[in-house]
Amino acid sequence: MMNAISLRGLGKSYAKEQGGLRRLREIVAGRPISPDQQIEVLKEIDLDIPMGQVVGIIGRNGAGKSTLLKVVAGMVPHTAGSMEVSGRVAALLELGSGFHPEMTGRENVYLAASLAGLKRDEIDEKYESIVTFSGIQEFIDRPVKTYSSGMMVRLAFSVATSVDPDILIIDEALSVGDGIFSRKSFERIMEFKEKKKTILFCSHSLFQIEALCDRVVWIDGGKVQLVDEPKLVTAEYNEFLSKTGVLADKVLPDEREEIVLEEKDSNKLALISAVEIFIDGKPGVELNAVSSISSLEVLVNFFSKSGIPIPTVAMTITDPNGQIVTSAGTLDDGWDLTIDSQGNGIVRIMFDQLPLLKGRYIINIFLLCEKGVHFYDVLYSAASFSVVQTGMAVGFCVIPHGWSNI
Amino acid sequence: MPHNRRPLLIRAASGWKAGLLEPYRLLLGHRQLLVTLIRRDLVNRTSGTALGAVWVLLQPALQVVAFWFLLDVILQVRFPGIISFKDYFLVGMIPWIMISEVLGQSVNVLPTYRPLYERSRFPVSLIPLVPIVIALLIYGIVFMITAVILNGFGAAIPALITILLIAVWLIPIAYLLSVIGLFIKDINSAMPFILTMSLYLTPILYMPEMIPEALRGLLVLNPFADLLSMVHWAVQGMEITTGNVLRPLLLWMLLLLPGWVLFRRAEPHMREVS
Repeated sequence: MMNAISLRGLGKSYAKEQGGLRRLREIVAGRPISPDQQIEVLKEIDLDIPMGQVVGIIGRNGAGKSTLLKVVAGMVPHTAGSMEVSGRVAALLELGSGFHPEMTGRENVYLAASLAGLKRDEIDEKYESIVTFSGIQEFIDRPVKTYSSGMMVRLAFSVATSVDPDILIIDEALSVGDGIFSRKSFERIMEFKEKKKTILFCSHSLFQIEALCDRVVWIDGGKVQLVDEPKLVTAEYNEFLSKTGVLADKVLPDEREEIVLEEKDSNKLALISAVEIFIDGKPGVELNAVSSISSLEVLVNFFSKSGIPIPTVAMTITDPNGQIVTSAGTLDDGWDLTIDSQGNGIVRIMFDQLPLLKGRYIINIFLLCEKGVHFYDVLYSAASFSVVQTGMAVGFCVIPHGWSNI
Repeated sequence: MPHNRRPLLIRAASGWKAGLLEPYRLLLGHRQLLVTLIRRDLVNRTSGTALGAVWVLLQPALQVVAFWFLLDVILQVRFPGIISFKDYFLVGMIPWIMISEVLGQSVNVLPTYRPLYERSRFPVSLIPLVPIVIALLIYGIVFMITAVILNGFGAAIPALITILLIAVWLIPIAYLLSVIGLFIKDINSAMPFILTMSLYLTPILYMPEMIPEALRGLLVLNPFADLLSMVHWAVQGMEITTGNVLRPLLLWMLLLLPGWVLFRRAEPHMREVS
């Protein structure tokens, strides 16, 4: 298979902050910056990404994920090794990247599309559909600086995915967010996947990574730690995280805060309207349970707008550090939800004889698309409960077992 | 880490050729982008004004009128020779406004367009050319009209060619200044002074013969004086020396290589410097 992206010993260093004069002197002299004057962000990256693969990049904050995407997108030059990228690249990296704030939306569309290699008449042809998809027709002749960040993301996404790229590079910041647009953009990415385009993206959401990717690259300290099947890499990564005490899913809520933008509650396609949690029939948000005896019951009230496929519901039970102990989802279990004529639905999940051992646990609820990949709504820490136990068993849970003397 | 040293004279010949040809290749290859940028610049200058596009031509015209008022009405300067002061002054002033505008913008042109290239694959080397092309468009028209009014239709083509040559001459200087201005912000503050002094040291508000004997040597060091004597020669048939042509040509050729090489070498750093 042909490689869309091929990196050999790729490295990227930034010069440390230094005076302009000093820097100019070094440029004039053509001297490479001395190693103690630079920060190495990417080291010896060897990576081949075959055409048509969806590849996810995971790693902690500051691991070099974004830099790698920028280098591959051609926004930042690499300082060591070699890089081959074949095909037209469209990148959605930072908010408003490549947009000039003083220029109107229309001008920026033309600018971005011609940078992507489109001819004037090709842009003319696509212009209408780009603007329609972004849904900001009425603002298109205003300067981009007057746009909300959400509008900017929409326009940028619309342009990047309309120029018929061979390789799409996305930083997670842009693939999430709520509302109709998020769903639309998600569908567009799925179309790319089906059309066998190469997609490279990074995300903190291991769940999404596993659901979307053919392969996953784990980066830490600017180096590739592991490249393999999603399940293998996320498992290794999770193990690494629990060793270092930082948990992937714990990172998610905070990151989302910045990302979700101003459209927080408006025009959500589907949302969690209420969650009720009972232990042994007693409702509450801080509950007590007895190991292997108590029953846990979760009722999720949700609303789904007409016209979209009926969503799916999932929940996780985590420890206070965010480590997922177990999860359950209607999609996985093959349970179809039903909604009434107004679009409201309630689903119940029961855990009998809760097999968790002593400790505090937190319940998170997720409302997802019919494919179980796109998040419509998330309720973190819907409730917490403490488990007490009678025996001396240690760990997270009791696995059904039996003893016998032979 | 690559420790390959890149000596200054790395394939100087090819660098020189690149400095000579690459700017035009850029302009041609990115003409679509260029049109968008120019249109935006013109819109920026005129948006919200009642006169709109008229201002683009009116602004330099008013500048000329202001100096004329000072010299002709208040100081009542009278020049010796057959060319009237008004004619001499107009023919010199318009190219000068173009030169000073391009130089003044060049030192700040990279920060101005920073949002475009900072986080995208924008061809940065196109940017220093934008003010030159815009100036060429505006002052090409203004100067042609002026020349036709003063000397008849025969002066239109020479006027246009001189403006075009000045634009070409400014290219390596614009590349140099844009890099220097990006790394050494001080030049931004010094630029208005440098430009004003250059105006006073160039025979525009006066004729070369009016400069004190002792200072006349300065004119030889001033490439703008040479450039303008070429302009006067082309449009008004005034006298010119070989030195007037050779000195700017030599300076231009000397700057072609450093201007281009420095810019290309600084390019990887530009996205990191604000």
